[in-house]
Amino acid sequence: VSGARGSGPAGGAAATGGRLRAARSGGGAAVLPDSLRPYYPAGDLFRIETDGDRVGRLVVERGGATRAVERMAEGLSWDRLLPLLERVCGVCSVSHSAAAVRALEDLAGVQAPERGQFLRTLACELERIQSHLLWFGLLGRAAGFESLWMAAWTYRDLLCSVFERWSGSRVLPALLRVGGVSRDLQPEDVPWVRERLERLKPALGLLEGVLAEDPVFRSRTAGAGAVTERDARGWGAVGPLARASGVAADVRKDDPYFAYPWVDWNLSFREAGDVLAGAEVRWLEMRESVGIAVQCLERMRPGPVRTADPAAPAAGLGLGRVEAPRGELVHVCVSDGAETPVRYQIRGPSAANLPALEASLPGTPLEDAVVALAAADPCLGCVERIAVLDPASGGGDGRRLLGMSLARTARLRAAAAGGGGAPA
Amino acid sequence: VTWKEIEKGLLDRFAADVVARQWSNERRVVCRLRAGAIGPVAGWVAGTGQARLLAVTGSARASGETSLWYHFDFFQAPVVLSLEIRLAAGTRTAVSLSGRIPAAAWMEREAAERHGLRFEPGTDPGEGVPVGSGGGGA
Repeated sequence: VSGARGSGPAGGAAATGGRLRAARSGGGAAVLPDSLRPYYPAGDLFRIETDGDRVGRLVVERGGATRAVERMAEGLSWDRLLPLLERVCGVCSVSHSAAAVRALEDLAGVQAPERGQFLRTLACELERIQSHLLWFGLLGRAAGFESLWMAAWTYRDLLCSVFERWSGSRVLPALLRVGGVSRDLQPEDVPWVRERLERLKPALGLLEGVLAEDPVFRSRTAGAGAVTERDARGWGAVGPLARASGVAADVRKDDPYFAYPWVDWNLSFREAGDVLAGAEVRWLEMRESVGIAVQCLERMRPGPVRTADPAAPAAGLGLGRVEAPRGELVHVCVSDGAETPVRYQIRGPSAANLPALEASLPGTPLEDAVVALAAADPCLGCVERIAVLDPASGGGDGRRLLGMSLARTARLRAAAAGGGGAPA
Repeated sequence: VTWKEIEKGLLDRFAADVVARQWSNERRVVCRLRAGAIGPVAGWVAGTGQARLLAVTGSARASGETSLWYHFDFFQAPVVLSLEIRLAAGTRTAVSLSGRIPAAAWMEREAAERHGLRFEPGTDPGEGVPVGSGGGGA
C-alpha cells in the first residue's frame, strides 16, 4: 500500500484502486486519487491546484495518524503513557512529553522540584535549536541551497550528541516524567554541554550572514509565502509562523511553565510574514535558546530532580500546553479517576498552522510553493505528500515543484554571478 | 484579565446557562454549560478580543452522552477557560462556532469525525478555507 501511494498521484490511484473524483475547481477535468482513509491513516496530503504558473488553491486533506496515537493512549495506564506520547514526533519528542507531563500534573496536582524544572527547560531549548536547524536544512533543500542544508544539519548533530550523553538516546531522550525528569545531568557533563553550546556560535554566525547578506537567499525568501497578521490571527496560527507575521504570542511568555519564569529572554517576532521573516524569527529564537540553556546550567542548584512519589491523576480534565519548536502544542487528558485516560487529545502546532497556509498560499508562484510549504514547517510526513493538480492536464507530480524551485535559485545565482545582482 | 475576572464575567452574563462550575484556579477555569449556550458564550469570549480558541475536545461518556470541551486561551493572562457541553445520547448535531471563529471549523472536524457529529451551520474544511477570509475571529 505504501509503495502504491508513493508512486505518484496518478499511479497511486491506478495501483490502489482509490476513488477518483473531480477537482473542485478547474472545470472538473482534473482528477486526484483519494486518500485511503480511514484504512490507512497516515499523514497529511497537500493538494495544490494550479492556476497558470501560480497556486490556485491549496487544500490540506488531513490523515488520522494523531488519532491512532490518541486511541492507543486511552488504553494505557498512567505510567505507560509517556513512552508512547514522546514518540508522536521524532523531532519534537521532548515537547510532546513536556505537554503530556503538564496535562498529567494538572490532573494530579504535582509540582516538579526546582532542579527538575531547570533540566526540563534545558531539554526543551536544546530541542528547539535542533528543530530550527533542521528547518533551515529543509528550507535549504527546498530552495536549492545545499551548503546551507548540509551545514545546518551538521551543527544540529551537536544537539543530538548532548541528548545522547545525557540520556543515551539522540532522538528519543525520554527525560521528562511526571514530577520531574528521569535523569540528572552529571556535574562533569555541565562544562561539556556548555562547550557544545559554544560550538553553535559559528552556526549562528553563518546563518546571520546568509540572512543578511546573501542576495540569492533573500530573493528566494523575501515576499515568498507571506502570511498576513490577519490570516495568522483569524486562522489561529501559532509558533514562528505566527510570530513572523507580527503575532507576539509564545506559551513560554503567555503561560510560563517549567523554569521559564526564572530565566531572562526576549520574544522574537517580525511583521512581514514571509519566509525571510520566518527565518529571521528562528535565527533569533536559536540565539535566545542558547542563552536560556546557559542560564539553566548556571542557575540550577543541587537537589532532587523528581518528586519522590507523584500522585496518580485524579478525575477531571487536564490540559498541558508548551511552546514546541513549531508552535503551541496542546495535550488534553480526560480522566474519570480510573487507571487509564477516558480521552487523550493532541493538538499539534502543524494542525493549527495549516488553515492559515491554505488561506495564504493561493497566488504564490509555483516555483516558490515548495519553499513556502517547507517554511511553514509542517511535519515531514506532510511535506512528502504533495500533489500538484493541473486542471489543464488532469494530473501532475509533486517533484515538479521542487524542480521549479531549484531552477529559480539557479537562475538567480547565474544572474548574481553575472554581476547584475540577484533580480527581485 | 485575571482568572477571577474571567469567571465573574462569565457568571454575570450567563449565570442561567452555567450548569456547573467544576473548578477553577489561577490558571484554569472549567465550567459546564447548557448545550445551547455554547454559541453565545463563545461569541462573548471571542468578541472580547482577548481570547482565542485553542482546541475542541470530544469525549464519549459512559452514559451515552458526548462531552464537548471548548478551550479558550486568554491573551496576556496565563488562563485557559474550558467550557463543557453535553450532548444527549443519540444527538447527531451540534452548534458550529465557525461563523464566529474561523479556526473552529478545523477543530470541530476532529470531533465530528470521531463522534459522528454534524456541526451546523458549519463549513467543510475539506473544501479548503476561503481565501482572504481570515481575521475577525478569535
